[in-house]
Amino acid sequence: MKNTALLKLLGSCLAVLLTVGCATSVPLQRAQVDSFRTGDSASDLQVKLGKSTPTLEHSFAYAGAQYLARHFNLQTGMQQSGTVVCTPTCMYIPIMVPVYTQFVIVYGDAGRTVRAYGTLEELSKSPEESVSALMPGLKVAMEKAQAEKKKG
Amino acid sequence: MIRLLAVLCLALLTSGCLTTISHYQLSQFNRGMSPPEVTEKLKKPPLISIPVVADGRSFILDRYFLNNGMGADIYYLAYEGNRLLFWGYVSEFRRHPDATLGRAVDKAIPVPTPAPAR
Repeated sequence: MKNTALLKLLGSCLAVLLTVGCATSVPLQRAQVDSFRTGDSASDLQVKLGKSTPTLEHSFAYAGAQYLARHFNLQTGMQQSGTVVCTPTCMYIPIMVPVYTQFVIVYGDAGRTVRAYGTLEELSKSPEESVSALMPGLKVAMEKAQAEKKKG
Repeated sequence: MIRLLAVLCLALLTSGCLTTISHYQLSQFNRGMSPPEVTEKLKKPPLISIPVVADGRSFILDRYFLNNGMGADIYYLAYEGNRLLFWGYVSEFRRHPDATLGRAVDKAIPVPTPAPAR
């Protein structure tokens, strides 16, 4: 009986590890964002991004210029979740789940330099009009890219 | 008794859902949106619309409650010339580089002045 319980527990742990391990993108951390600067070259920023991978990439146009947007999951915290395993006595297994927010890096100058970065909300209400003006076009292109990603 | 409690719970839940907006909705706004465009995104009108004049500029400040997971925080959407200019918590308005926005929100929510000492 004890072996069965242990097996089930190990199975749950494995499922969690696989879920986390097989996540399609590596999230961004606050410490990395702190090192970003507007005007950074794409190659400099790539070094700062390290192993973080985007969840979505797409281009969009504004006022005759082309921009590239790369979306990342920014980890903002951890949340406790859990699962109940019954073997036959039930036990609660707490699991810590990361909490993410969508973070965007906008590259201008044909994708060579960083024009802006932040959450969708931060960029949309940026006091810098040249940044907030990019957002309606970016969001339309983002929705298209998301739909294509779902299809493909 | 149980029915009464059930009705009360339902009423509370419904009213909560009707009056609060959620964090995920905030990224749908764009500067320059008109009030009807914003209402369409939020699927609900503001709790109150407050016309405010600050430094000679006219604003409309729409007040909402933003669900914070445990309760609700006051949240404002500011329009100038019928176009969305800024949205945020009161503290965000107060530290905005356009200081007039901070003064406008202060007029929308008058800061309580302490009672004079006796």
